[in-house]
Amino acid sequence: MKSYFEILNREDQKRAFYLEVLKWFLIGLLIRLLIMPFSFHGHDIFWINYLPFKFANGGVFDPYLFLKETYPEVKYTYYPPVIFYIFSLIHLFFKLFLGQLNNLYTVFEQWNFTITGNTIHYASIFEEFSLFRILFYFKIPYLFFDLGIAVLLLDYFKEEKEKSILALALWMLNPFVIHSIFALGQMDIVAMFFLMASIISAKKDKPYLAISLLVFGGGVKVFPFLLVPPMIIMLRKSFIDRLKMSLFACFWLFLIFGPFIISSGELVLGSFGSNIGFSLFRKGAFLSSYAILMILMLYINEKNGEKSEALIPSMSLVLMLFYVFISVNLRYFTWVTPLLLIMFIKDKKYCIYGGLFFLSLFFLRAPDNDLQWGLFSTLYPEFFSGLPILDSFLNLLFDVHHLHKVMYRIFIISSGVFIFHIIIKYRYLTCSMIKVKSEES
Amino acid sequence: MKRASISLVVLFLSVLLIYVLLTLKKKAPDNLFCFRDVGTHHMPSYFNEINKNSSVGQSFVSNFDELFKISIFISKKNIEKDKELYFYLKSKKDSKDYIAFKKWKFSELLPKRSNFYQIPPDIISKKGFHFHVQIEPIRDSKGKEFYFYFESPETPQGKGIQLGVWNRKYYEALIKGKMFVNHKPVGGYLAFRTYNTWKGSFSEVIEVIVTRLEKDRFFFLVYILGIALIFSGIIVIKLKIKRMKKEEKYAS
Repeated sequence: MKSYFEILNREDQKRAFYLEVLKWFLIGLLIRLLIMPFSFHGHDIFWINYLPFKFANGGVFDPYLFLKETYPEVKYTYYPPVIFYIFSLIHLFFKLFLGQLNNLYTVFEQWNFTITGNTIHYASIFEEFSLFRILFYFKIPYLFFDLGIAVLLLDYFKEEKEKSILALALWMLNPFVIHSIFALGQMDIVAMFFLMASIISAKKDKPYLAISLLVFGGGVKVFPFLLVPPMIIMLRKSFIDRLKMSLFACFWLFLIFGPFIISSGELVLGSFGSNIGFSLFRKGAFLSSYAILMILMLYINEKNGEKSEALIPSMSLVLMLFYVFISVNLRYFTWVTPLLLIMFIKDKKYCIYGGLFFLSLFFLRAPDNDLQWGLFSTLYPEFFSGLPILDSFLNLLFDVHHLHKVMYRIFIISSGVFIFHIIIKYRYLTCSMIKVKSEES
Repeated sequence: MKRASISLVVLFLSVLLIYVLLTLKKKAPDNLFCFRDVGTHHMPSYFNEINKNSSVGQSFVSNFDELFKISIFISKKNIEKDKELYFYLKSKKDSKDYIAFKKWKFSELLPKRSNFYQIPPDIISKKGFHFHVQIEPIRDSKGKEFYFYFESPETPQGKGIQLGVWNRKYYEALIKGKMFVNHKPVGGYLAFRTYNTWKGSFSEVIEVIVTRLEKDRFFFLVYILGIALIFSGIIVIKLKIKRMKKEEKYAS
């Protein structure tokens, strides 16, 4: 059967395509805008913006040194430097529109560094400081990076109009992004944007730009660093080329982290998140499976000249291993969603995994009012933070612990099957390519 | 045949739903609302025993109205099960009147895993668990100081319940408060949490939301206009697409 676009003439095809694109952009924008001013989680969004605010208003150039000197009792540090660079520039602009920010951060300093609180406390104490407006402004940069990913997805499928519309629609309705980025207020979308831009650059045969963007993404959130080795393996064939690319990645790494290492020594390295507590067994299992995967990729790459085809599944594999062995929550899972989306569109068989991941993770990793109604505490703190959730009612019928255990198993099993599915599929892909090449020769 | 089986499934699901709703109605508490105010999620660093020589207490300021529950991390190692634990809540440390008084046999101090309010559930560890004390909601508790303490006057030393203590300054939402042993202030904090409920009407909810939105009227007005503009844009585009499809259908 012919698709809708195929039955139109060329001029109408173009018009219909742009109308569909505009429609989905607006639908996505509407969903995001409806959430942006009213929701946040804990101190996260205020903490992300705190040191960039200090840069724009107090001339703080080294956030790591500032924290160490001003609040030595605080055990955690700021995020990696790129987020500080980006948000500091944005705060120079915010300064013009957010007059109440000074007052808000005076109260924030009192609470964050001595008392600390939950969403309900911040929603209550920030009531007088144009909280809705501040939350809305704080999330505008997320919107740009999010829409940027949508544009990159359109670009990825630009040869196939139906698929590009589907990719856009799925991205705009992506529940992980809507929940973790726009409702919780976390900034993982910035790193995801660099990851997607890196993949598009690799597809366009710009390997050095691709690796630079990926390392830049690692300067926002550390997870893209896990994807640097697979990218180097996939994009370069000889040992010398791989070494050159690795050195190039190190050069970028030094450029990002260097200024702070020179300024305040090893303090910036705390932003790698070494405080994440997971067992030695988990760490070992992840590292060994990661090493096996890299060897497998080396083997596939030796046999197979096609690069970008295998890049997305390889990166998805690495992230899935991270979720299985180290840690998974809704926010972390957001990282892999643009990659999975591309895979689902290319091969609809994968969609079943998407459904299982969605179901298991939303049941498993949002069992708290703080991650549900409580996100909207800005509107009425006591009411929204106090509302019962589905788990409360289920707990009256049976121990909801058991349901969480079942969901965890569903996630682990479906992830395991998904990992093997990809490995087997790409083994066949390699075999078929070798066959085609030998027939050609 | 197919119709009949669908009807059967629908009937079964409806009966199941009614059964579940009736069960829930019977089991759910009167006040469905509960949120956590003061408290730490960290494990206590050490313990303080309650026995005939030592009572242990804590003062705190509630950040919200309708205080109705306090939980405390307890350890039951080496206890004498038939002894009793007393709980007292006062509006101020030196006040003579009690807001609440409760007593339990040590054997009655148990963790409650399946609980409507404990979402997410408390961690039950080898060290101990959070024991919850529910009281009548205190209507105007916001900003007021309270003092609670535990006594166990008949328990010999070394055989009493132990209360978890956390010794760092960093404590969630505790604006003011101290730990007390024998009603005298000491360093550290009890590993406790306080919970509040909410009582009100739907109209009150709307009223509060509108009041909060009105605090930044200009922003809200621009925001509503923007939303309306985008919404109408979507409708217009959808109509255009529909018209194009229709025209194409006629043409083909």
